[in-house]
Amino acid sequence: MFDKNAKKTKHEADKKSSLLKPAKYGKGETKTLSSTLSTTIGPSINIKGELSGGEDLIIQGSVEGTIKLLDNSVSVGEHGQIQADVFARNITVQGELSGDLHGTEKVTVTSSGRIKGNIIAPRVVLEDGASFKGSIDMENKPATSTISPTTDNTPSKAKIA
Amino acid sequence: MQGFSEEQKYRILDLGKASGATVAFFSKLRCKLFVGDVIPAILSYQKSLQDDEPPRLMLPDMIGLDDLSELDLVMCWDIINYLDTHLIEAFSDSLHQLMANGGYLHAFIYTHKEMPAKPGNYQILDASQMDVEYPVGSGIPAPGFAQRELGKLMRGFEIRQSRLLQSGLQEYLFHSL
Repeated sequence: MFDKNAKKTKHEADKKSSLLKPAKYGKGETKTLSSTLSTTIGPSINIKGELSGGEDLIIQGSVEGTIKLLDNSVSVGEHGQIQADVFARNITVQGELSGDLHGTEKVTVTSSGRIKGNIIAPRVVLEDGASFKGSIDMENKPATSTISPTTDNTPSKAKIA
Repeated sequence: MQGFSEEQKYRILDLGKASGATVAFFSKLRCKLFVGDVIPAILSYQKSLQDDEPPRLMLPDMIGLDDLSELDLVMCWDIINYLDTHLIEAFSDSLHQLMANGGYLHAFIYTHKEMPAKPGNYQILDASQMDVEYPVGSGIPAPGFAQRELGKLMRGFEIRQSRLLQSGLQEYLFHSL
């Protein structure tokens, strides 16, 4: 009896741990499957119009128009090409985006991200190597940034004090 | 950061490339930060000018961003060192039109005989430290503008503060008139 219970407990624990295992969605991006539902727009999909809904969205294809997922996250993958204004809680851009980004929590532009447009968010993270042209509208809340270490092949660096 | 108020919302233009560290630095303020990334375009325009052609620099068109006006602070970094004197005048005229009354312009001038062949990429680490990435390659002669000469070239601005840094760069803070 004790052995049976022990087996069942182990099985449930395995199931739980596999659900919590992070899955790779793209370079440098992981997501815990059990935390939220998410939808992926694949690299061969082109969408024109307004996208709205109540789950997280990962875009590897192209979208033209407006994306409104006010309570969720939007991730633009490395191959994603977006010409749209995006409204979401968290927005991560690894690909190319032309438009305005309205993040109620945070907007992150990774090193491979290329953005032409405006960012309106309380927290903005711009990784080293990210390409951005536009404006960043920030209120008085702390932002963070990631600065990658310099390699030997990069141009010389100096501190100015 | 001294002199910045927590209540006011500032409008700031970075003429250089986007930098995460600079974004993080200015996030301590209430501000709208414009990233112009326009330095290569200015240098390319200079290259395209004929010898006797008077420069007509239209910075708003070159930068191409909406709502670019009433700027409280512009970060020029070291671009002035790479401009001909006529272009510096056109540059300051064009920039002056974008400034708020009493806005500031921050710039570095090389005081040594040589400077890097191309402008550096600057980012602000904290209130007293910056980081600059220079292009690889040999240097070129620096114009070494004197303070008085620079004051005349930067039309519409007056020098509010100037100090020589350990690196040999002269840091200038101009005030829009």
